Amino acid sequence: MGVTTTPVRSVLADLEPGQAAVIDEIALPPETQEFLRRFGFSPGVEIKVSRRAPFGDPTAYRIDGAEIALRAETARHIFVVSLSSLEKESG
Amino acid sequence: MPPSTTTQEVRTSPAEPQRVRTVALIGPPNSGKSTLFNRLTRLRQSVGNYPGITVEHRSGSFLVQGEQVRVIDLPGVYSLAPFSEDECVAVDVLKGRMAGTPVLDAVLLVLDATNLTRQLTLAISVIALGLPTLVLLNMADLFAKRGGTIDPLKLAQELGAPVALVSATQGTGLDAIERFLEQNKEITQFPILNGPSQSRSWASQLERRAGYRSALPAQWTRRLDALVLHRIWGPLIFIVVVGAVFQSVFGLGQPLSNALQNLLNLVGQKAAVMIAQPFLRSLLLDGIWKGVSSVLIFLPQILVLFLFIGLLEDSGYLARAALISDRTMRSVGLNGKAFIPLLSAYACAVPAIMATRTIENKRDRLATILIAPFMTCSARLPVYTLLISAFIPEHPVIGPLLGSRALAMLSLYVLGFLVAIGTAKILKSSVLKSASIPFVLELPEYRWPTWQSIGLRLLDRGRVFIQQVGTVILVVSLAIWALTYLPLQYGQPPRLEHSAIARVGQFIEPVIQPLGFNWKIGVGLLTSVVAREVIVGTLGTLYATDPSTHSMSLQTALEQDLAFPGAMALLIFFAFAMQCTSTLAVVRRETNSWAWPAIQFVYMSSVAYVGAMVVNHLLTRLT
Repeated sequence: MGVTTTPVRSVLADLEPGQAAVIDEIALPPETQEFLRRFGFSPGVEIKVSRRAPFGDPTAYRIDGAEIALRAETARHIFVVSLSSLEKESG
Repeated sequence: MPPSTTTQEVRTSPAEPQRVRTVALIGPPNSGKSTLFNRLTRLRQSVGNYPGITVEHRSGSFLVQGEQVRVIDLPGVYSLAPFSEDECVAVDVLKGRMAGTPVLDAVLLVLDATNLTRQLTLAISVIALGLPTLVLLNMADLFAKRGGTIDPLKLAQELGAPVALVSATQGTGLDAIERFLEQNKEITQFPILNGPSQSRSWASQLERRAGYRSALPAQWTRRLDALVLHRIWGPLIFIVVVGAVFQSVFGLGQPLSNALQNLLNLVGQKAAVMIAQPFLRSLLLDGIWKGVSSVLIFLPQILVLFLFIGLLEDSGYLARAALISDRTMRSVGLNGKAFIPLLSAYACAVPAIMATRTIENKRDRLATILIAPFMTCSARLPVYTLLISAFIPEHPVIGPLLGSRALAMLSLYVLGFLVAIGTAKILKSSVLKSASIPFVLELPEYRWPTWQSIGLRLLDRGRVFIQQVGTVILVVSLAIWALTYLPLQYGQPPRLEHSAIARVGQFIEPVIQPLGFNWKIGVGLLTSVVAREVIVGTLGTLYATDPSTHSMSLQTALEQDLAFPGAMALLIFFAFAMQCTSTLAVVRRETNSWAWPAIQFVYMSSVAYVGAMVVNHLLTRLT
């Protein structure tokens, strides 16, 4: 913890389970943004990939202490800045 | 546990006497709002619909100091932005704009204490409405156990509303509600916030000031998810769970249904002896009792199904099942939440349609409701069994594994499924095409289901079935009975072949002739609108009263009367047609309009008619 690598901007869908990041931008129509915001998805919020569904999609994320699953087709439009690629899943 | 309530600067004004006060329960999904509602009201609750929309209106009452308080359980919402129908209802009720719902006296805001962050924005917007609000931090027991901390007094000061730590499942801290309602709290001034992002930063400040530390994520949930959502174990567990539910519906529900049928028949026979007047006896027994029993026998299956759906939902597995099946369901334009309802439809479309409530996306929900009756329900089985055993000779297809009759039955299951999927695709790419709303699925923590919550739900579903379905069935059965009882001949009811319904059957014969059906089948189609399996009884009566077939068994009589192509066409007709008044009644209730059941009826009947006609023509040419 505490050791951060240089921030890398990537797409939420590309993160691997266990990786954490901060949401940077949601490149979706305003009403979709508004809809996602109610589940905690908004810029500046920390998000962590929990696990993928058995068939690879959707993926469950931990955000604001809740477990929320999104399809890759949605997560593809959410840009994130990696917090730390060293951070492992901790209890 | 800390003291359960803190109230800040309360200025009490005397409560107005002689008036039933109304309070609303509001909170995000999975906050335990319904558990609290059930605990407060117990059996004093009723369920209906808000006028003109599909959102369920749930209200009940409880006593505070001997005074009755009416409580409205608003739908679970994440925010007050009027996005979904649920949120519009919540906002309208909170603002006193909902027709038929009184202006609120107070609001009980239920939040999940273990994870406040996301919910504080909702809290802020609810409190900003200016109604006396009590903030209930639910699941206080879990919160404390998992190392969460909060200063409720500080939070109350920050929010400008009293805060109480409660546990709806344990029933602790609920006296705070009583105390809150005894005092008629004055409206608290509160800074109105603008943008949601502003609310969010405000919320985190607020959390800091209230010394909030969220509870650690439940270890159990993480460990269980590692197994339940495992790449190999996940799907296997899924299949076992689904299989177990199905097995129980047929293994437990079916015998119960049979037992109930025997009981109902017995009661009917006993009553028949006691009613001397023939008209009255026929009206009560043939008209009402038989019709109502033919539908009532599905109640055990429906309840067993709901018991399992309830267990899956309350334990948290339902969301995981939706996650696993989403990929498959997506290929037909639906989402994972439609899986369990559609699966239930293999037992009976009625509970399946009621179970679609878990699908928040209204268009997806409607699409699921519209395709559910294509699934092969158990009421089709007696019809299929009769026709298959009468017309399809048994011979092995794949050695001893699969016979021709089993194959025919299996084909009908597959056929219903394919038409359902085709219909879903058409609907989802046209009228019910979803807007840009993405699929979002919350995976709640695993919890032990409580018997109280499951029991109340079973009671509620059973009541809905009996009320909604019962009244419609009563009317339809009476109409069908009247058509078989009239016209009177020499003061006596006619034989079935001379009755009004036979004339209707003969009248529609030209219409059904292209399908290979004669008027007797036509009568069966008419009577089976009560419930599909009723056709078996009707045909039995018709062939028994016909001198040319009266000595034969129903199977042989059918073989004599119906050509092979017509019989196959009849199977196809039953696979597709909406021969079920109960389903129509439930669709009307769930969509809160007559339009959708009407469209569904016309659509399914057309598919059935065309399908049966094609089959009859093809087979007639071939043979």
